[in-house]
Amino acid sequence: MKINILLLFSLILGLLSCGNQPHKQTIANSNQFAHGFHIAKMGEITRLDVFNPWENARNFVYSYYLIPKSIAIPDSLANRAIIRTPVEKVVVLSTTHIGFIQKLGIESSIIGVSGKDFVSNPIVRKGIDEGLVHDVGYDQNLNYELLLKLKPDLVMAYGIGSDVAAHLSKMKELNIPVVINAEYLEETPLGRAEWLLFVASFYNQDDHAQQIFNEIVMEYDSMKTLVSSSNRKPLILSGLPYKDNWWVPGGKSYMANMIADAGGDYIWKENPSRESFVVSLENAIVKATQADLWINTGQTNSIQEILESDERFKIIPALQQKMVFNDNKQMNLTGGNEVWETGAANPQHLLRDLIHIFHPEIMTDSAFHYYQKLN
Amino acid sequence: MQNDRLISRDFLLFGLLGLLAILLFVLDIFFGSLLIPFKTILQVLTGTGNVNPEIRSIVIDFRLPKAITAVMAGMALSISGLQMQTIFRNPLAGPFVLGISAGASLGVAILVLGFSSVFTLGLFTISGSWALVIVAWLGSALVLFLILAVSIRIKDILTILILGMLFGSASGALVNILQYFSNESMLKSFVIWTMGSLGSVTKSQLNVLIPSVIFGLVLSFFSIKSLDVMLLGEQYAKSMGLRVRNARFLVFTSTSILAGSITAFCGPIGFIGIAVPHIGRLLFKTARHKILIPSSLLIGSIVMLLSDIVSQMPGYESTLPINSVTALVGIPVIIWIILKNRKFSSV
Repeated sequence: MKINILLLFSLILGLLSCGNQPHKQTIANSNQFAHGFHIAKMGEITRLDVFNPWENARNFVYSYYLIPKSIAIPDSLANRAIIRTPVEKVVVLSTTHIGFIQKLGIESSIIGVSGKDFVSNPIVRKGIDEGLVHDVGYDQNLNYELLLKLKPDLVMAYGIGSDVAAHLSKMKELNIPVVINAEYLEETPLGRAEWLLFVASFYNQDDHAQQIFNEIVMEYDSMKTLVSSSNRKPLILSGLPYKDNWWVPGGKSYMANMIADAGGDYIWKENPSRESFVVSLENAIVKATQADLWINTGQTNSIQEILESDERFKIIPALQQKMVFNDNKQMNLTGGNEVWETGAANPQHLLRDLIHIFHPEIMTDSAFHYYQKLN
Repeated sequence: MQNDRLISRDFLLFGLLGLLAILLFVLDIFFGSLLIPFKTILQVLTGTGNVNPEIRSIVIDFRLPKAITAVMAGMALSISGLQMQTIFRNPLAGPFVLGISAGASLGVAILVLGFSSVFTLGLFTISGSWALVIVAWLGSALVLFLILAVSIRIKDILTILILGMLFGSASGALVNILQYFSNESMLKSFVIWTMGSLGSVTKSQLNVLIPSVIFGLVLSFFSIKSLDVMLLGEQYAKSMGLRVRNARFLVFTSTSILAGSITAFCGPIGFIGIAVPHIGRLLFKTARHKILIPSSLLIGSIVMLLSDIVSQMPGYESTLPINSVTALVGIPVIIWIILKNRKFSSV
């Protein structure tokens, strides 16, 4: 039954594209890696679909119509979620969005952020200091009045859980043009980075973004190839426990994929989860003692700090041999970490760092971008 | 004659409870979420055989401190609860009626929720065990100080109870405000703290926890006589020549040290403190503290060890929060005892 419907659908699509109206046909911009969004050009208008934009969301699609400011809104779309492009005043609710906008070199469009302390980008920081960029709050503390006053062309939101739907509809009710960006749910590093195309479409910078993204893919893939010839695969431990349990990235998660691409053998790679999962301290410790390397140790800056969180980690050989690396080299003074902001948009930097850690024999000349070795 | 029989019955009960406590202590070391063969554990404990160092560490550095912490928590909370029930002559009183856990929560909330952005969301660095313990202790000490200051000036015990609850509510309100203004990861760390944890107490922390608990318990042994007298009411106690305020001061200090230390190291562990003294009264059919204090010590350890074994869910990859287990394990026990005895012994 399902197949029949699909057949019928593709038949109709095929008929449409055979018609004599090339400017009206639906050209699917097929993503190479990302699963969470879809861009469809309909002449001058772009339709953006975002799928299941929070953890465990099922069958949710948000559709946005990007209509150039130069043309009138067609009556048929009057009741849809409409963003007039190119956007000039943007509020971002995640620092990760800043990273993508930074790739396009248009951070000056940012007029609002969520949690100004976590911002690292110098242009946005300067704007905050000069009072040009405002902190709009977060989650249930979103300052709707400020949002209304700022009159942004676009608010880019993200959601951890379904409760974000309430904030989205509230903003919609207030006629604040809001879209949801679900880049963090992508399982592959390049999938995450591909959301650059999503962000760029609001600025009418599609071609520019595609060019940047192609370069990222090329750089990423060439490094990945470089390391794939290596027979040695160090066993990698990731994360830091809290109290009795250890939250670790799932075996199919973004981090697990990144570790695999960098020629590492992730210690929980057998786990089927895309999200983080929890392991008891006992089980984690036994696994941890097998690891050659330990990465992403929370907010710690030294091996001493890890031992202060729990002195019993001293039995982990990777720690004894000081093979511990954390991605907090670039912290700002108020607690923001550069990797949260620009890591998703720059998987090539992350991969380079990880290869440097896992295979120093291959990546000899590079300095760390996000990571530091803990002493 | 009858008295003799009662005494021998008490001895028998104490013997059984003692054995049960020892058995559960051993089982707690043998069972964990990681399955380790009994023989290997025996080899570790006796120091014989060639055991791989990780397994040795799991037993010696993880399970043993956890089992000892369970015993400490069980004893401390039960005795605090018993003392509070006696002094307030209220069967629903527990170790936290004075607002001690609320004070500790406030301390932790301020650290984890209030300052974490300053410390770069540094839950892991600053929760670096000791910081958390120290703020929790400061929080409960603050509440203790207020309660003691009030109890010296105010005669009426009910007023103190009400004030304790008010302090608790005020701390709770402040914690709520902090929670409201914090983000998800901070909130999660705080919530995990409120769920209690026995396994995160390390050997060096035990070096502080054990002496604190013993000190608190010694104070409560000194209160045995005055607690018995206070059961009969403060007027009567006064007429018996008891210096009520001094006695109260001693009991409050003991309770705060006991409940405060456990809350600082393990988080606010509920239920044990309220339920265990009742189990003691029902088993021994007495209100004398000479019996109730040692029996609460044993029963508290038993219930806590049992809860810890259950929370480890042997064979599963993760563990349950201890706070949920103490309630789920303990409540059926209490219901069974209530129904079996038909009447719930009044204090």
